[in-house]
Amino acid sequence: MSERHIRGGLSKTTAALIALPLALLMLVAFVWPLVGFVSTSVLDPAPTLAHYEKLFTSALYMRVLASTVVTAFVVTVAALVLGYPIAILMSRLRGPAAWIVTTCVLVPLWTPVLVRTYAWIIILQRQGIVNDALISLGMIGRPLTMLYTTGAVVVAMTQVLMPFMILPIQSSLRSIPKELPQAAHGLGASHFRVFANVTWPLSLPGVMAGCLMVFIIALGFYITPAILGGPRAQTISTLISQQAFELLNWPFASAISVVLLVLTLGIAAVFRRMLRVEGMSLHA
Amino acid sequence: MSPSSLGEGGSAALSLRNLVKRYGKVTATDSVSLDVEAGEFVSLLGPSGSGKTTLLMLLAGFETADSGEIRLHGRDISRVPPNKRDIGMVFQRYALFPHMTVAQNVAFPLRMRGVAKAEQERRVKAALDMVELREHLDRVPAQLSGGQQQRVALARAIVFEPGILLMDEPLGALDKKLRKHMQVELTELQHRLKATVIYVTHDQEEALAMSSRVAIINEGRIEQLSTPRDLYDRPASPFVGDFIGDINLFDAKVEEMQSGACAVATPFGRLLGTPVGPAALAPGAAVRVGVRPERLSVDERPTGGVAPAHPATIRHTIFNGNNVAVHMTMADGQELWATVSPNDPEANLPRGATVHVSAAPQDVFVFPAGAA
Repeated sequence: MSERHIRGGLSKTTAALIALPLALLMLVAFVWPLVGFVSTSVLDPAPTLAHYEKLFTSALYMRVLASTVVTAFVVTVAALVLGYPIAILMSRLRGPAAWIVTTCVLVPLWTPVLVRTYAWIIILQRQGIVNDALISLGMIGRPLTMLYTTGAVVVAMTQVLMPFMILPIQSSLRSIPKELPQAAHGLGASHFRVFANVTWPLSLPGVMAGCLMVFIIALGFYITPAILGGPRAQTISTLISQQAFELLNWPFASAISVVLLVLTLGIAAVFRRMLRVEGMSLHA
Repeated sequence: MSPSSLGEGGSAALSLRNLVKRYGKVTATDSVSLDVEAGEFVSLLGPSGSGKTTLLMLLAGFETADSGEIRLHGRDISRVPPNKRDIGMVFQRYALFPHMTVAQNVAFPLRMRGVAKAEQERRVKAALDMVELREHLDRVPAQLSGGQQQRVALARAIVFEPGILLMDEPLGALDKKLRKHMQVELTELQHRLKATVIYVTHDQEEALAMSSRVAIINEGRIEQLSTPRDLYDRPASPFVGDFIGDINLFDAKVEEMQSGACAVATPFGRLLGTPVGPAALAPGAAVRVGVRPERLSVDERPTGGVAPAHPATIRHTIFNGNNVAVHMTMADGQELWATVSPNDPEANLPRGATVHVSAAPQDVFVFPAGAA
């Protein structure tokens, strides 16, 4: 296959020209601010690492950092456990049923995160659906405090980020030829062992991609923790926002942002490596 | 590896009784009965959509029959799930597990059966020896050629010594030369293992070359089950005649019945033929007449034999190397094909020449009309 074909039949110059507007936008809206806050974090007011020192030596900030990572991890695992069966269902259904399930998965993706998060307030508040139901069933005496807890953040974030888990897994499940599970079954594997030995390992690239996306988005997620988390369930992103907009400590906010960025890139690199290893055993 | 369990088990290794499978209004398997002896190589041959794949899926257990019975070495497996059926299957596109090495692929059925590690290793090596692939143990399927993948799939299907081997067009993805080679290898391996094989294919040459018997499948039924030779020499229906080899087919009417033979009236004249099937044909009955091209005699002059000869005009001739195909038009416009030896004078006749066509009564099949 010639290079021309790989590039969709466009010459390099044409392709570059078409990509130019986006490249400019990225430069102005992403690279420039990035350079801005990285330099702010080390140059304001004078060349210093004091902001980083403050972050890494404060037990409070380190606890927020750790709890953010833990929250992102829990959300990722929950999304995987809940999303995988749905991905299997989607990959097996055909016709109208497949269309309905796909729509159910995609509609939340098209609904603004803000709307979905406020919906969770209605569900979790003191006179919300969950409390009302539990009280009328006589299972609890007085309303539980669910809103403004880490639990609420985890539940809502899992729901919000679920499509990012389901879609890549579904796509990798679809790419497994149907003879493979069939052959395994015919060669003596029970349904469970077909899954454990064939379906699951062959879906790992999708699982990795889904986990990577959910984990990274969860790490920097702002809206849901800010609304549902309250002051006790702070995360890195709410901390950044607080430092920048409430305390106007821009250099410190910048330093936290840089740490979040490095953390994210590091995790992405690890996942990429794992994906490559996985990909090699599949396609070498 | 001992070939025992693949071969032994009384007389009928596999026995199907009135197997029926419907999908909505479509009857994919229409009351199929079949007995396969231990050590036999039986092909299910039919055009695509004939129901041969459904039959195979029923055997393997990936589909469940609506009614009827499947017995494997005497044991009724009609309702047994695939993993408990003791059937080795080779899939059309091999279905090797891409994330496992060759050794792991072949060990898979043993691992699922809880065979001890050392024993697994020994049997995997023995099976790979069988297919001459021992040196590729640690490769993954993507590193192998199509023919090698085929062998791994085969080793994986025989390693656990199943009661029967099912093969679904296993050579379909190989190029023609390799296919011929693998045909020979497969039959040799089958003989060595004394394995009972059910082989699905739409390639009639392949079925004839490899099978001890061939079941011709059409519209969900077995049209005829016989040896390759018998299918060719004595087709039970125009469909079989047409599907196995080449045949000239045309409509006619019975003129009179004689003992074991009948005279039929065709638009181009009278022919003597042999009735096919148990049904008695009455004079006046509509029939289909079939004659193999190589059984038609083409002569420049009437030979004066017992068989009636009819004039025909040569349209063109095709040189095929070992024979020459002669395309002719009869007096009424009916077209016939004949094949003659390249050394025959008739092989070099020009277009438009007149010849006389005849056939011996035993070579003229008279099928009752209504047969497919």
